[in-house]
Amino acid sequence: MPLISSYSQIINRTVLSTAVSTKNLLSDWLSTALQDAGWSLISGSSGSWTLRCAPAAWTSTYALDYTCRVIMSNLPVNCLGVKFAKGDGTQVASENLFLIPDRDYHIIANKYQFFVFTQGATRAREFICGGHLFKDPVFIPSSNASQCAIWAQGNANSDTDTGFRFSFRTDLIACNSNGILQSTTPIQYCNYDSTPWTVPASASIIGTPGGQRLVVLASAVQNPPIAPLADTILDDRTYCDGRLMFGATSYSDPAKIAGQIFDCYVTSEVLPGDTLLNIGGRTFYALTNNSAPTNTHFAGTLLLAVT
Amino acid sequence: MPAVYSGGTIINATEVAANISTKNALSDWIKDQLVLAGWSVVSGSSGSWVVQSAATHVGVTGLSCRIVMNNAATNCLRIYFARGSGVDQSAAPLYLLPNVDYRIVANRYQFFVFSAGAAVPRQYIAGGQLYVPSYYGAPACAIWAHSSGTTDTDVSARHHFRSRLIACNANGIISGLNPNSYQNYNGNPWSVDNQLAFDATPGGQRLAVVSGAVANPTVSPQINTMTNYYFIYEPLMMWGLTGANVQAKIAGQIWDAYVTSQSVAADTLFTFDGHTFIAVTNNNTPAADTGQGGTLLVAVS
Repeated sequence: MPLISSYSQIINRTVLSTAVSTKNLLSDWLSTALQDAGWSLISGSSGSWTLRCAPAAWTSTYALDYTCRVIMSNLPVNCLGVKFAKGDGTQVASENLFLIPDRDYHIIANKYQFFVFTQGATRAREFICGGHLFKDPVFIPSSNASQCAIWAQGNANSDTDTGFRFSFRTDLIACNSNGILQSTTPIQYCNYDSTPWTVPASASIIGTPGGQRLVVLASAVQNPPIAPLADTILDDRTYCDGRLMFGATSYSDPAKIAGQIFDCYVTSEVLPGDTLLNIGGRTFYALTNNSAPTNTHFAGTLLLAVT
Repeated sequence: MPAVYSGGTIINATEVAANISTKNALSDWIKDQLVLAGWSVVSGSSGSWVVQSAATHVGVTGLSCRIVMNNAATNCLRIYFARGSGVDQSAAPLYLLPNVDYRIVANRYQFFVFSAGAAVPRQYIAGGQLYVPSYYGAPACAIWAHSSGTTDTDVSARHHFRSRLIACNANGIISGLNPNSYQNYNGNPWSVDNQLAFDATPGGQRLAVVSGAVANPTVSPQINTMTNYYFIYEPLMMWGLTGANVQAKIAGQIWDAYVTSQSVAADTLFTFDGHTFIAVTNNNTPAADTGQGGTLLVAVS
């Protein structure tokens, strides 16, 4: 199961809370890190930067760029608001992801995606991530200018949220254990082939099946045992490429595979967040924190390459 | 998610019932096809050939298996698997009925023999030496085999890769739906022979599938891609390491093959990745008692 490499500079950087003590400082730090990773600055000023990820390297055949934008806003009272959109600036998410300033932050970014989070047991409003997925050419039926595969999630529902929510910092899902959206769902943005939708902080999403989740390996039985039972016969961990699923046109659609996160693996091994692993000569960072099997949903860890 | 290719000759041959109407004729035909695929005759004569696979060339190298044919049963040719050295021979025969139109799809490490269309008891056997990634260390073998029957007279439908992605019951335990099987990872051989002694144990053979990371996932068609392409992935084989009572885990990968989340009629052909594949599994649409849906595809060219 191969990793898809971004073939780009990988930014693996931390910052002290004192250097990002305000929304504007946090936006400046984020903007600088993304530009260093290969994103382009489109417009804006401190607190309201707009950046665009690099065009995908595999799109020359189709003359498309497959990019996304992040649009920062310092208008929320407490947090930096971050919205995703298509690379041309259209189809902006209807809801902000919320990132609170004045925290020690870590960013792992490449030219297509980024993850920002506090270390250890990350609290609400201390995690956002997203980007443009790798679209396997086998899934690209023809030249189609509407094509994109953009995803983003945070771990909060509002500028003041303090509740626990499933996100890739805590689990391999951004929905509830049964794959449906509930009050434990964070705000997330999905856009496959220009059909954008946002999970709002609203009761309207409850019970719908389209929330983001990663693909794992399982046994082909009816109710497969939760990882680590799909491990190898030597009790070694398994690795799965970081395929992401969400509903095609709305949170009411069943989640399906939209593409693959760059520079990452999903392992069945449960690890403390921030653990470093060497795999095939590259160093990977455990994003997911102690997602232990609970008989409810699959455990495991999203591993991000930092070298 | 790539297949691992055997790199040798792929045999995709059919034979009409009239030419394999006896156990001995059936054994001769299988032996001949396996030799064409790269296996070697160790010993024997018509009805009792012993044939050995080639030694694996990638991943953990030098691994092989052996089959031992036996015409002593009343109705069926019996086939036993063993390690390439001949040790650890299965206690459970796989049963293959003669006088049936058969297809064999074989490479130098594995083979599938089956009649066309829906699975019929005693008309399907498969097995071989798996591809084992080098990071597994240095296991002595990773051999699997199963059939669609449990006795020389079996007429009951059972779960196996001609009918499902599992060779156990839908809940992952060995039951009355089990065929006979043999598995041996690193010198830990065990067999399921007429399943009753192993009821309710969790080690039976099954393939790994991909799934959303949620509880109780249903696979096909929900695992499909956005564009409603069916997802394809490598066929990772699972069983219990030391016995039927040990939870099944991944032992290695079937060569020249993919699993697709699509459920199709057996013997359907697909061309992709530079090869043509035949659907081994027949109409495995997910339902309450089937395990996960999907199809094992094996390269025929």
